[in-house]
Amino acid sequence: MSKIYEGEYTISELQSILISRQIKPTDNIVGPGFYNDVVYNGALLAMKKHAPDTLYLSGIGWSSLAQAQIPRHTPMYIPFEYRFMAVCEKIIRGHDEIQLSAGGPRQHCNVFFLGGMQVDKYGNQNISVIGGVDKPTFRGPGIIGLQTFATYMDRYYIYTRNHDTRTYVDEVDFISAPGYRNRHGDRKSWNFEKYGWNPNGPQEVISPIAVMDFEEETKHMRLKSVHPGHSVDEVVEKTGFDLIIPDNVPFTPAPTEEEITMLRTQIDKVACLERLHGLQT
Amino acid sequence: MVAERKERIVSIEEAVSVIKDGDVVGLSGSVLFNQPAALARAVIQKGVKDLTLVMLTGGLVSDMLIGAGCVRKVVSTYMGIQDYAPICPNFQRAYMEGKIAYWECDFQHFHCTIKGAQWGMPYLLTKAGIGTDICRINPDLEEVEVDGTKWIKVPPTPIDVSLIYASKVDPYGNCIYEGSVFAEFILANATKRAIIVQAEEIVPNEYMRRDPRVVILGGPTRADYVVDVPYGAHPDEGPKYYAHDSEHVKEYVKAAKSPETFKEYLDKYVYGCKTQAEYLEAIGGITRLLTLRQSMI
Repeated sequence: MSKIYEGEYTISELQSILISRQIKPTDNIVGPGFYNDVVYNGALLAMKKHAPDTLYLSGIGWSSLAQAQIPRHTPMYIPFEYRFMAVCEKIIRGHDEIQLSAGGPRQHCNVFFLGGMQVDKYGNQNISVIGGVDKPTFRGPGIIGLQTFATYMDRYYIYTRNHDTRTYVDEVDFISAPGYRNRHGDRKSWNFEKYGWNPNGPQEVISPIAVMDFEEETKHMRLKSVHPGHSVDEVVEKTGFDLIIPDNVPFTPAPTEEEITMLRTQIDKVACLERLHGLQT
Repeated sequence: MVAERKERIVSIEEAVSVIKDGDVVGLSGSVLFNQPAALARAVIQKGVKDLTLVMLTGGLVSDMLIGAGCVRKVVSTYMGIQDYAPICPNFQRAYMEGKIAYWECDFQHFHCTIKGAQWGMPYLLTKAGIGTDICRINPDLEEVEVDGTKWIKVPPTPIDVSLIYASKVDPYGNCIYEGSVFAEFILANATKRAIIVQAEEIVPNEYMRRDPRVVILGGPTRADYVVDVPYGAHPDEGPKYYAHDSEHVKEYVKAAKSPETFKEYLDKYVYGCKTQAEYLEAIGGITRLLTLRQSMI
């Protein structure tokens, strides 16, 4: 095993590394965020490091990133870029191919990383409107494919760029994508499995200060680990609902030398993870 | 003497003249790629009102149409301009002021509503949206029970006119894409009155027949009107031809922050440019275009 990295790293680098650790060698395909540097770099790290058979779906095509030669001056997280075609092995010819396989016998993607403006205690996400439909106070960009992704992925993960009481709320103002349960019922009552839609909800939540999972029985969000340099109290204070706090909360395993070196020298060539960190609070 | 096949090449003004107030208009592309920017500027110059815009994922060009007051309703899954503006500025302001409606949907609903229009179906069913508030934001979506389980019932959205960007088009409307393809094909199939295509270059019909495997729009989805607009996706990326213009996108986003500054933007780049040549001069001329072209490598 590689040694723990002793130097400094950014939150975005850590989040990328945490994402890479969730990708298994047996995963068929990893879908990106819409344009998402942290997820893209995490997926690429996993493919170069331990999951060479995994495919990555961008907006333009399928790519085996393990062997890909990344072009010299492009932030590769922009999924529709023509330059991305250089690393694709199969091009998507339009919208039919992006989502028709949802629920079909050929799995489209089996791992996905979603973001959101609000996340609640049962993993429901809001990317539509703050304040609700009738009295919106902030208009978000839209659902994109979140309902599809949150419903037919084997495993999906929620990833947020902030951890505060505005993001982690008791109940989301608008349910853009379903978690485990909400006012419309629970995953069992929605019968996804019967029609080939995957019944699984979000596996973990990766925030800038901690990792959360969901308690097996109640499906209530639970603190799993706290990132180095942060504390349980801080997480509790910055979360807008009562997290389940186990007796022992470990630190999130820090990046290893191998992970950081690979990320910096082979993957994040434009250093977007470092620049991004400057924008964060 | 063999009868002559009719070419479909027209001026940009002639092409957009088929669009009427209140039309449902499909837009090609997404976010910063393949959007019919030149056609959109011609629509703004014409002063069309109350359009319903239909696009898989909206972006700068749809936001420009909203900011220019051409739009009453948006049908889309997403309205943003990448990291330049996570939420389209004119769109967000118009929504909050109650000036536009947003039929916000998931990829699945978009597919159902467009395919339903193509096939003449009263509705299509999908599982996406079960367990969410989608029916609250779009009252014409309905949760129904079929086969003992719940589904979302999605009504069709027939399209009057589609404005579509392509890389290459022939005089008879067959289209080739050198890069990304989004919802162009399904939009074209659901279009009733006219498919208008703007392309980087017009190529002879022989070019299509040399390799018909790569033609995306053709046959029933070939363009009714063909417009020749080099660099016509700017400030979007024109795949293979040029990268998106990040400086201009930043200028756009800054201008779109208030109605006053956005009016200045429109005066400078839309109302102030009668031709594509004038527009290309305004955005920086040949020096800028070469820079964008060379960024493709």
